[in-house]
Amino acid sequence: MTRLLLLDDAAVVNDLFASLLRTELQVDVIPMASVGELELVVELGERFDIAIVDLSFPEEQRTGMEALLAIHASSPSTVLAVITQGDSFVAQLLRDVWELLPIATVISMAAPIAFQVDQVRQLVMTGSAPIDPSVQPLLPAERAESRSLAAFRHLVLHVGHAKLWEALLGAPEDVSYRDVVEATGLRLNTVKNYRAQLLPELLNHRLDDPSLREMRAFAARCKPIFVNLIGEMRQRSRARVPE
Amino acid sequence: MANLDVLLPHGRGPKRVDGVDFVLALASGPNAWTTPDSASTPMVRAGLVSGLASGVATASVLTALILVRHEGQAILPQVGLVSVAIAAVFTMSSSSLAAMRRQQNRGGRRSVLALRVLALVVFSTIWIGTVPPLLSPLIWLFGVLGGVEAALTASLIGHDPRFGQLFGHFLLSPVHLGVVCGGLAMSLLGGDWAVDRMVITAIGSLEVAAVSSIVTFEMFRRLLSREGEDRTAIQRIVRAAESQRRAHWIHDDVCADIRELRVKMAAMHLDHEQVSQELDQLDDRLRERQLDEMVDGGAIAAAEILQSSVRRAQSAGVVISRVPRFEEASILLEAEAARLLRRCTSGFVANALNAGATVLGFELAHTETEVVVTVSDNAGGFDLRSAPAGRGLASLVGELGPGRLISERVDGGTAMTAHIRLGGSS
Repeated sequence: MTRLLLLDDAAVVNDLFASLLRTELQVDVIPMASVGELELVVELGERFDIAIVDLSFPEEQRTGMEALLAIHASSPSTVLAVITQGDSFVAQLLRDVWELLPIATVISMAAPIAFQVDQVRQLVMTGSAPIDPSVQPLLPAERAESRSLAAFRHLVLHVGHAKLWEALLGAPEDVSYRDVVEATGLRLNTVKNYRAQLLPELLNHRLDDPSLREMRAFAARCKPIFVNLIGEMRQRSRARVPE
Repeated sequence: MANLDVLLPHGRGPKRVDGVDFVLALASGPNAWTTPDSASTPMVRAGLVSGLASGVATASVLTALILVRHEGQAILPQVGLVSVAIAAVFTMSSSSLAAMRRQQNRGGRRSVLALRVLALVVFSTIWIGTVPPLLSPLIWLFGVLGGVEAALTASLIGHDPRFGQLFGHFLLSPVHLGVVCGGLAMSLLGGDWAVDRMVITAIGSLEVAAVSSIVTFEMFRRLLSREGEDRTAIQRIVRAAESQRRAHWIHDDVCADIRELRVKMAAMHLDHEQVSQELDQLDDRLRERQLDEMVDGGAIAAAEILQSSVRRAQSAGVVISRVPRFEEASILLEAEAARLLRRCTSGFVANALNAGATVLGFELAHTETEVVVTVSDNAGGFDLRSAPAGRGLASLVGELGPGRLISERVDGGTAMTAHIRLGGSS
């Protein structure tokens, strides 16, 4: 029987939708309400055939991208889908997820329930389904070739870049150069130069001469990717620094 | 925030922007530190204007002196002065710096730095060679320019030095000590009036320019700081008012609607289907209000406006045959164009649903001057001329302008197209 993960922080609605899907589609639906819980389950070796994931988890201060990345890393064959309100608050995150991961479809929570169930039915039967038409205007016609998980490495080429992104991840929304200088311990001019070095690569991520604030928002959206790359850079740096 | 201890070299702790950072930042000029979303406040604009005015005044004084002393014959100083002016304008120009920031930035800022240093050296040489010692205090005008630039740069990079601190730095700076000691040595060794004149002009000008810069810096820093405090106070008031407005909105629109539904359920014994319909309508109303708020809030993407109409059609059981993609629908619209787009799409959809459409297609295109939206249906033909005057589509014709609302027969239905003019869209 198809194992379908349904991950949404609105636990009551999620459970109800899960029982509806069980009845309508005769699939094994596993509802979950937390990214942390999912990561634990995935670490323990649990696998799903299909994962339908919400993007916004404000109480955990996490995003669906983290869940999707964890699932994709542990089981690349799992069919990934997004379920979302599709409003402006998640529009950019939705684009990031769409371009960086093999998302099979996007389901709108605002669509009629029968339409949502039908999308899931197509997912179960064929492994893909048309994107909800109300969400489609938020997504590009083609996935940008320059955008991929691997391309993020070009944004963290050395320890200095890692420090810059780490500082941006921890900075307030109205981040200033001073905040970054204070967090990194780098010289102001160095911070400016690191940012300048990253501009051509940021263009590939649809960021044209972004302000520090826009870079911070981008880092926050793609936090799990940056955290991994910063971690790798930290390990390399640790290996170089003698005990 | 994740632990920085390993990434920070040799366990060095967090630092603040210091004097060296400040001097390097000042060398690049304040425009180098603005980001695309930096706010240009009245005080910042006033600073830039006064900086420009003092630069022009200094150049005028120098030009007048050159003309008087050399009776219009000294080509070299005049050419030098023009070069300084060109370099100054170039290095102060936001657009040229923004262009450099986009391309190869490190090289760009080095060029700016080189130009600024060159301009300063040429200017100083002309000044010392042309201005008589008694007139050297006129350099205070140039000092104002330096003070304004320093205050703006310090404010942009978050450096906050005090008057005494700056004065101390200046007195002990290698530049100051070098000029004074070098000047005294030249005067003692040279022994002729021409050398003494140059020394007095150089030292006098440096002292006056420095004092003038520091005083201007301190005054302007205080004004900027007061402006920042005022802005924070206003933001606090606006936030409080906005919170109250939202609380009122939730009470009036959300709670009142939910109560209405509860009363209906109790009084009219609504069945499951009716409750579901009522909830769908409530959902629609709340989403419309959400859209109102977003339109009122400023620029809004066309996609957000289309979403509302697409969802409405979906809820009515209509099949959506086509919708625009991000490339077309990501255009940001200002309030007026957004309202018109919303009126057009919701009007076209309402008409099509009333006419019994079962399939709807949405298209959107835009140029620099207009957004073109088309909604096509399969509900038979519709003639725009038959729209009743003063209502719906007829009033839309008036708002869009003549010839900007078009209805066309398509396969078994109608395609309604509106051309919406763009004012401040991006």
